[in-house]
Amino acid sequence: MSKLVVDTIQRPGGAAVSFPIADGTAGQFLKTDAAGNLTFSNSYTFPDVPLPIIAQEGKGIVGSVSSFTDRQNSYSGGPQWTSSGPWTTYYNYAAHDDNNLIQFINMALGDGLPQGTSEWFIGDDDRGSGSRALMFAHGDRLGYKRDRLQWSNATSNGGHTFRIMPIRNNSTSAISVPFYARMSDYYSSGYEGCCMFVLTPNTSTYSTVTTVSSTRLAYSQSSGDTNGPQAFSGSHSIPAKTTVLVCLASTNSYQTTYRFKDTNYFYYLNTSYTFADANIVCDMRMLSSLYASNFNLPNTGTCNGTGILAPLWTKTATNFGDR
Amino acid sequence: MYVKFNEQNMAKEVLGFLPPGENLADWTVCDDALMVARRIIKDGDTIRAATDAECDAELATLRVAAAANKMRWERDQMLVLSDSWVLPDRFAKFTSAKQAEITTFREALRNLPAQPGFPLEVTIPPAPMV
Repeated sequence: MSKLVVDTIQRPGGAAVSFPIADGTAGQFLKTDAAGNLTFSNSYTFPDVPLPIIAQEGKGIVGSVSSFTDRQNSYSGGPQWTSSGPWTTYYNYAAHDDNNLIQFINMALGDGLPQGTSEWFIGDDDRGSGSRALMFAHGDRLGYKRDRLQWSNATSNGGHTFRIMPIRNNSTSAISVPFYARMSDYYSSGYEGCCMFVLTPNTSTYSTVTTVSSTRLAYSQSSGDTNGPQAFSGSHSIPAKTTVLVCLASTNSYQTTYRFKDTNYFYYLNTSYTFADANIVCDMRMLSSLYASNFNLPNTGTCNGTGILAPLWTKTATNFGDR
Repeated sequence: MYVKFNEQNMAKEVLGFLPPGENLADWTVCDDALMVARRIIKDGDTIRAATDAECDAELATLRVAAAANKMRWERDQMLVLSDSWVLPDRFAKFTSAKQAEITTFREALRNLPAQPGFPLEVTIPPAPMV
């Protein structure tokens, strides 16, 4: 076998480059120093950079993720959301509390049984809808009020809507923030109703959150006015440098055959986010994470005061950057 | 916090504070600690958290009412579906035995709420083959 022995090669009119004397290790590439000297080097590995955030924070942009089910929670007769709920008995007016909270979160994120193996996606099974919708405020309201035509006539409520809005206090002291919401609050068989509640982590830094506590701000156990949503209000003290999740769980109001009213929105956002105050903002990292992250939460488990919901913060640190 | 009660003296709406436009006179001011209660009730002059037994009793009542509502709707659907059988021109074409079967079926549907176990344990009459 013949071989060419040179220490430098050069194309006519080009620059001369010299080869290294020793061989490199397996998988290495030749790399130039731009002065004609080639050496063996490892391939470049891109660092694990945070994913793009959905919008810039502090520009008055306010968003939420939401999902809904078109099944009433007392509906039975198939592999779907029954009065037993995806895990155990689910009470929508107490979605903040055990044993309801993990079911609320899973359904809000688009799959009420994320570790399930059946063909059914419990929670968001409305025909033609997608899961985990991202929604932004155009003014001082965030959400919707709409009439819905259901896949099947139900004689009481026709399902629930779930919404999560992340809000952050960037100041160095706690700030009490008012929240206003309108929700359809149908209450027929004792499992429905509606509520507004807040999830608060035990520490301010995403990556160090180990437990999450839940506080209900307002709720209804009333069939209410089937033609008009009820107004709900409550305030919460957001700890310094901390992001909390403000959640709405509502029940569609039965109108007539196949027709329901579904109201689920925040209003008076200008009082929650006093837009002149840069300290209170909608957390865009958390919003991006709530929309995109695979939290891989369990199907079951008591969440209030435990670590089950900590991944909502720690995954945000991993995927979108810690703070 | 602020509470509105229904005719059964059970809380129907609970707010942390009153939004603009609400009339304070329409609401009862309660201890904030009651926000965690499963159910709030007005017991004479006392406002308190309902006991589990009281909650479960209400739940049982509501479940029966909801089940009755659902069962009546299903019954009505079956009556609607069988309406065409008893249109005079069509009914006349059935044999007398089939006519009796249809009549019995529809009568049993109408009498469904009179069954002793209604609405939780109901025997749905078998539909005739038409």
